[in-house]
Amino acid sequence: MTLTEERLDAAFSALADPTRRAIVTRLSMGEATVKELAEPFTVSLQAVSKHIRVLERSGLISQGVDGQRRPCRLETGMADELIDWITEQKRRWEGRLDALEAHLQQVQAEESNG
Amino acid sequence: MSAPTNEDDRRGEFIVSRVIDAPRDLLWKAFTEPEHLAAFWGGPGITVPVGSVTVDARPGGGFELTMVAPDGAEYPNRGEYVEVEKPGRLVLREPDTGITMTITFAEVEDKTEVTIHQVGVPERFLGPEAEAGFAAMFDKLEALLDRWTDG
Repeated sequence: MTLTEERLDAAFSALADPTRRAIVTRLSMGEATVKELAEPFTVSLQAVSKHIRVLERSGLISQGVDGQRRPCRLETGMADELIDWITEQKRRWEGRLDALEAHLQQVQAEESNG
Repeated sequence: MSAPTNEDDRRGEFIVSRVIDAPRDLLWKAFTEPEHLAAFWGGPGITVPVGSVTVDARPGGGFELTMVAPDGAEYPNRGEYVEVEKPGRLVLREPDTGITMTITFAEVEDKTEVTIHQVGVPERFLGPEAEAGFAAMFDKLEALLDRWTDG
């Protein structure tokens, strides 16, 4: 079995449970804390925590280390990394164009003064 | 999924553009002469020593400079001109990163619109391992999510 197939297996068995599917659906709209995730359910916080651990083991979600909040998020791995990289590249060009604009303003001011 | 990657993303494709209050010839100079490149290529907070800039603006010619971060760390940039069509179009390729940038200059009344069209992603986003990272899992999950949210 390839790595991808193993991950798929783990993911699908984790998703066999309706509560866990609901948690994943909620996280597809953005990150949330365990408490926030537990709100729509009648089950206890502990039960929801257990579901979250199963999802975490399957690699579908991860839990952050943001102090007390520890938000859960859907794990899209490489896709997220790529989006971050592109965002950083764009940001770099915007900064470069800011500097270019300021530089050319100065150059033109010097030309017209002297 | 929160961050779906489409074909353009997978190729690292994006466009950034800006209308700058300067004549087109000056923009051309800014992108092909060392004193100008040194003044802006690093962006805010990063300096580029003029002496580190080498420009040979003709197809096949080289482009080299060193960016120096506030902590003194040096980041060399190396590129090659693929197309040089004064005064409207420059294509630069970075052999180390696989990135190609097409820079165009268009006159907009008495100003100039600079457009950067960049394509290419670093090695780590390519190859079979990365492919597994982008995994079919997410395509299938996406389909599942669509079904749940519709229902």
